[in-house]
Amino acid sequence: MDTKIKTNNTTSEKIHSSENIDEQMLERLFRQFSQEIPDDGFTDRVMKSIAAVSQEESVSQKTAFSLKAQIPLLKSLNWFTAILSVAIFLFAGGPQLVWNSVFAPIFSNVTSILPVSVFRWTFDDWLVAFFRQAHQLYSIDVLTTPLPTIYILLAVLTALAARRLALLTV
Amino acid sequence: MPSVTDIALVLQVVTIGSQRAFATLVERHQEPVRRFLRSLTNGDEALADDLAQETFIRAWQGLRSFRGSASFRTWVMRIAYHTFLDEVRKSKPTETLDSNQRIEPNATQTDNFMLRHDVQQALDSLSEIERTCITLQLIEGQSIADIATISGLPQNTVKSHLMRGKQHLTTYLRNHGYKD
Repeated sequence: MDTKIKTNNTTSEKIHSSENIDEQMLERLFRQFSQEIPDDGFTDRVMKSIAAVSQEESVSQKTAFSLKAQIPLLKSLNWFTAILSVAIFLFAGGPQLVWNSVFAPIFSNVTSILPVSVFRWTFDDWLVAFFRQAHQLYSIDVLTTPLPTIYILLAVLTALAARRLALLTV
Repeated sequence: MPSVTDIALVLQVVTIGSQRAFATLVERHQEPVRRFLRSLTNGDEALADDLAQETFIRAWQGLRSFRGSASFRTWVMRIAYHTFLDEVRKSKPTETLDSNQRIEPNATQTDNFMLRHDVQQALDSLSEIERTCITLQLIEGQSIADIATISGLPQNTVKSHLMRGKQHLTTYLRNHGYKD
């Protein structure tokens, strides 16, 4: 109750004291005080600053965009997608295509200088030679396995390497 | 009544990033923003214009957050007020609030200058928040509700600051020879 009485007293004091305020005088003086401010090129200066800020933001967004575009792509390269993509590449004849269109012509030119038979090998010759070497060194009997199995093994190995490379890049 | 409303201009800025539309908004609202900041910075025109520029850059960057619950002017005045508060926080009070260095009347200055000088001095004698409320009401003609939005204070608090500020101003100006 005491608090309420005190509060009421304070409010009444405020109301009483507000009578001392000369509203008309203040309004008149502040009307005279408030001056017009011409633009004087202010808008141009602001827009130039905004253009500069926008340009900076655009550059930073582009950088962020390219990184953001790359990182999830690399991170999304999980085991399944890595193996699947490499397997598709191998089964679709990708290595042969690359070999025949890029490396074979180069090596065929080289063989004219160096008469070494390996340069005339096809991709499959290289593959068979690779597994023959593996068989001799580690007794892995890959030569008796059908060629698709060899391709799958190669796909797994390549996928491992691809993922490792992707993680290193990130 | 402007031909294109502020909301329409804001929409143009937000949807197609129109700098021309934003330039129109700046042109339309630069005067109250600069006047408000000049009052808050005790008449330091250079500092006020720097803060006004910063205000409009912040408005450009944050325009997507404008919901239209208050008018664009109220929204941008609120940004101006916060820009001023940030400036006060990072600089020493004596650097921004020493008005005597800036307004020095001399013999060639007119009565209007003297009036402006006296009113500015009267404003300087108020606390920061009282000055903000008084400037927004008596110079910019903002409503109590808008002042509350700009300053982030409850309406009753704004009323108290206005009343105290006006009382202080009346006393100050009467003591300096101003009468109705």
